[in-house]
Formats: sequence, structure tokens, C-alpha cells
Amino acid sequence: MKKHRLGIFKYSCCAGCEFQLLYFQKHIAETFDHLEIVYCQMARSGGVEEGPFDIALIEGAVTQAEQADQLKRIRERSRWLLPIGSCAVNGGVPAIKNPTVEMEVEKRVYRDLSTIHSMKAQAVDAFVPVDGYIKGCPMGERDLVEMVTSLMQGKRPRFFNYAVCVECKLKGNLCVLVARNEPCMGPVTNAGCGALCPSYNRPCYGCWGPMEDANAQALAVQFERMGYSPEEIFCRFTQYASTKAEFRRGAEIYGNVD
Amino acid sequence: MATSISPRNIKVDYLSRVEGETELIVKVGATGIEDIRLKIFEPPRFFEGFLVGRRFDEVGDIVSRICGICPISHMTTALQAVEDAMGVEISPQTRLLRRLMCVAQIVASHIVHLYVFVLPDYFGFPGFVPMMPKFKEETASFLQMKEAMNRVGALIGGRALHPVSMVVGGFTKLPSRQDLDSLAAEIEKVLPLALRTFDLLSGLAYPDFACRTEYMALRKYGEYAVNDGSLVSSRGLELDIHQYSSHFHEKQVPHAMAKKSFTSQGSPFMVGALARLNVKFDQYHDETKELLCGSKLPLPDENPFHNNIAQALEIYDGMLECLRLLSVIHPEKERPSQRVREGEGVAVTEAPRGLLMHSYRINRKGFVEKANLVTPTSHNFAVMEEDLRALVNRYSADEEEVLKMKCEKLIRAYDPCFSCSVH
Repeated sequence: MKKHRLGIFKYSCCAGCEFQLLYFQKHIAETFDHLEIVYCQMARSGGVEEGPFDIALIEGAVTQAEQADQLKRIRERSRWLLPIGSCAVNGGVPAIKNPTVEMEVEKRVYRDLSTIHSMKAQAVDAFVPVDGYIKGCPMGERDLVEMVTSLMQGKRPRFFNYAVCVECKLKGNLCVLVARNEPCMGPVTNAGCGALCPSYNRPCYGCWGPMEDANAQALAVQFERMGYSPEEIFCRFTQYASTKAEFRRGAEIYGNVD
Repeated sequence: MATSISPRNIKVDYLSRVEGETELIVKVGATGIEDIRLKIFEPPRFFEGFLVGRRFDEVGDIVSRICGICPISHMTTALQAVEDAMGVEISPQTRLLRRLMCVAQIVASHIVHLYVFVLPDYFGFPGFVPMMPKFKEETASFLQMKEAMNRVGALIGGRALHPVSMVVGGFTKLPSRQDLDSLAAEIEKVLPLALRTFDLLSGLAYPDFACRTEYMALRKYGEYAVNDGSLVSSRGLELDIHQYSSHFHEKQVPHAMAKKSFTSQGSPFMVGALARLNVKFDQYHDETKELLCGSKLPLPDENPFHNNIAQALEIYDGMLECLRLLSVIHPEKERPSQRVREGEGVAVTEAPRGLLMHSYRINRKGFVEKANLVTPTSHNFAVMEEDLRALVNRYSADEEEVLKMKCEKLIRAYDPCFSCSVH
């Protein structure tokens, strides 16, 4: 069987998704026999940055022009390109800064701004077309397995496309939103974590980003009715996916999202 | 005689097998070293900038995302700093569970660093994956140990990476006694692998090299300090953590996105496993001390390459400590205690790579007004460049490729995390 050429690229993030990848072997020991890591700076020296790749995985938000330039080159040299993890999929935690004027954020950290060349954090799909999303923070193992096995079978991967609530109900958890009056993001957040936070007695904080077409606005208004302050609600919808339209619709009633 | 110096430039554009992004530049002229720089080009994410305006109960979850290999350290440090600011007391049980989570993470982080980042250098491979077919036993050891340590975070925290049960004031869900027994059984199983790891790491051929510096660690009476204690150094410093900002300062440098940390006298210092070895080896478990005695390491050990051996010692010692903690924790139901109060707080902990400091100012509504974080790699940044300089001087007669490899090995020995250092 031919080896699939894999490229892994890191932009602005914690590298946690790459660490998840490194332990992939525990799922299917033979996987690595079918994959050739052509480029991955964290795992090996002397890779081939130019590809070509059967599959390119991108972790991290795009916060610098050079990253966007490289991303476009990778796209042209890859059969499949997928963002992995919330930073690459939704802008993630780095995009928390986006509603604040860039220079103001920078000045809180650095005295001399002459060497800082940062821009608003963006998801990978703001710059190049993608072939699917491996969501999660860190990325979900189930979607990762689906992606790798699909690649080896030559079929399109199928990812979760429903809300955390579905998983939560299947687990038989007590509803933290309705029964405990806590600001749970489950109704608008994409499934994949197995309703982790509600299973640990706390409201979902939306780290997987929005489910497609989620009605975040309705949930935000519900939070207000439950007695949460505008600032709290704004924080809720800007923590992991402030670049995505669905969550922005929840945040923009209570603060400036741009 | 300076005749042995041959002018050359060493450049590594994007150093592999470290966490994050850096470039290494060494310029040697006819009269000696002209320039040595670690150009840490990891893009800043501005955590200290965007934490301003966030709620106190988001901070732990957000800062966890600073680092994919030590999320629990950032989370714990932030929680403790926020608790310090708001005057929240935590229970002895919370203290023990946090210690368990943090020790397990130190062990897990060292395992990844040694097997995936370090060993390929010493066995002549570009990475760990190409090593696997020839090193089946080591591969199995790595995966089994890593899995056992990840299970601690996964079971108590909900997931090993970015756990969810740790919040201001305590834990949202407590493990059962049976859960803890199952973790202990798994760690028992891999304990012999930790001994093998120590044998493997202490048997490698490290460059003969020593650099005198000040070693800095947390120290506490009665236990190997991880989440609390005083700041203690090999040169006699002893400081309450609340005096951190009066003794250490950070400096922005034009060649790196990470800031450089110095003592108030302007001198570099070292943190991490080797610093802990030098400052508090007397507080290892007895079994670890025996291992240390048998290894004939000089104490204090001033060879930074031996940080790898110190990490291997901590893998074993950490597993022993996890087993001890798992036997003394008898989970009793309690809810996290939270109340909002304005104030400033600071916490310093031992992350896998060394001292980690978080400080916050929280307003009366519970929102962050100011945040400051200094990570282990920022603490080590200055001494890393200083040691690189000494290394290049010491081995200036080496072939270029050999010297370049030594430089890379030295940087990796420090186990830097450039993502953390820039944050």
C-alpha cells in the first residue's frame, strides 16, 4: 500500500493538537506504516516544507502575513487540507483579542512595538478553501480517527454536525442550563467532546466552536433572562470562536465584536 | 592561543523537535564569537493583553491554552493567583488533588521530551517516528508510560489536555476511591519502565561541559515543592513568592518575541529539572535518592545537558509521588468555594520546565484588570544564550556540523517551550 504523505504545520497556538497526533498510534498501531511524515518541525528534523502532500493538517490561528502566504502555498501542494483544533477552525483563544484595537492589546504586552507584526487572529478558512474541519480544543480524537481512516480508504470523512446537547442527553446528564440555571453553551456548540463539561458538573464553555447554523442569539437572550450581565454573556460567546458568524451573533448584542 | 578559532556562521532557521518556533544564529569571527542569538519568532498571542476584561472564572481555561504540553501548570498557577487575589481559601483535599495533577503532568511532559525530542539526537535519527521500528521496546515504554500519566489528567480532569474539572476554589467533580485505585494500579505497572528510562538517559554520551550559574526552584519544608513554597536558589536566596516582582525583571529584546528574565542584579539563572535537582535533591523519595547515588552524578551538577538525566529522575520520583498521593487521598464531597472580591494576587509553581509565575489584578465585579505571566523558558532564555556562548567557545575546533548539532542538543536539553515563552 502506498504511503500517504503528511504535512503538519503550526501557526499561533499551544501545539496541543500536534501532541494529540503524536499519540495517535495508540488507536491503530499500523497507522504510521501508511503515513509518511513529510513535514512536521516538532516531530522531526529536515522535513520537506514544499510538499507535495496527500494531506496537510494546519494547527493554530493565522496572526501573521507570512503564515497566510505559506498557507496558500501549502493549499496548492496538497490534495486535502484540514484545519485541526479550535484555533485553526475558529480562531480559538488567540481570537479573543479581535474585538480590541490591535495596538492596544500589543501595548499591554510590549513596550517597543517596532518588532511586532501581528494582525487579528483568523481561522484557516479565511484564507484558503478547506476539505473539512477537525474541531475541538484540543481536537477530538474521534474526528481525527475518521479523517485518517477515510484517507486510507479513499472516501470523504464524515464529521459530527449536531449540538453538544445531543451527546449530553444520550449520557443522561441533568441539564445544567434548564435545571441549574447556568450559562451552558451546549445548545450552540458542535458535538464531539461527549458533553464533557456537563458530565463534570459545569456548563459547556463552547471550546469546540459553533455548530453550523446555531442560533446563538436566542441563547444569548436566554442567558440575559436568567440574570447574567452583558459583560458575562459577551465573554461567553467570544472565548473560542469570536471569528465565526454564529457565535458573533450571540456576542454582538452585548458588546462590540469588531 | 586564538589560532584554533575558525570563522564561521551557524544558522538553524527553524529548530526542530522543540515546542514552538525559534531560529539559532551563531557568528564566529577570527577573534572569537561575534554574535549568538536565539531568535524566538513564535508569533505572540498576547495573553496578557486579551485577559484584561475577562472574567475571573474564565482565566484558568484560557491560560491552559498557552501550552499543549503543560496546560495543567498554567491552569493551576492561574487558579492560585486568582484565589490569592480574591482571598479564596482552598481545602487540603483540593491542594492534594492539584498536586497530583501537576506531578502527573511534569512526569508526562518529561516523558514526551526525552523520548520524542531528545533520544533521536543521541541515536542519530531525524525524529522519533523513524526510530520506532528499530526501538520497539523504547517505543512501547514511551507509549505505556505516557498513557498511564495521561490517565491521571483524563480521569480527574475530564481530559488530559485542557482539563475541565479544575476551577477557582476546587474541583467540579471528584474522583471516586476506585478511580484512584485504578490509577495507582496503572502507575505501578509502568514504574519499572521509569527505571529503564533512567538507565537509558543516564547512559547517553553527553558533551563534557559545565557552566556555573544560579539554580532557582521552589522549596518547602517537608515535601518536594510543586505548587507552593518559597523561591530558593543555590546561592542562598530565599524569598516569599509575593516578592517575586521585586527580585526578578523581564526585558524585551529586539531579536525575540519572548522576553528575557533576570534577577534584580541583572544576572541570568536556571530553572527546571536540573535546578530542582541541585536545590532540593534531599527531598526526593528515598528510592530516587538511591538511584541518584548509584549514578555518580556530581552535586551540584553544572552540566546543562544533564537536565535530561534530572528529568529522568523526576519521572521516577514523580511516579512514586503520584502513588503516595493516590494512597492518601480519600475523596470527600465538597463544592468549589467562590466569592468575588477585588485584589491583586500572585502564584509561582514548578511547571515541568521550571518556575512559572502568574499575577492578576481582579476588580470588584470579578473581571481581570491586569495580567502578567513569566514562563520557565523566559526564565531560562538568558542562561541558554550564555551557555550556547560557552559551548561554542569550548568546542570551537569542532567541525561545523558537529558544533551545530551540539548547539541544537544543548537547546533541547533545556526543554524550552517557545510557545509558552512568547504566549
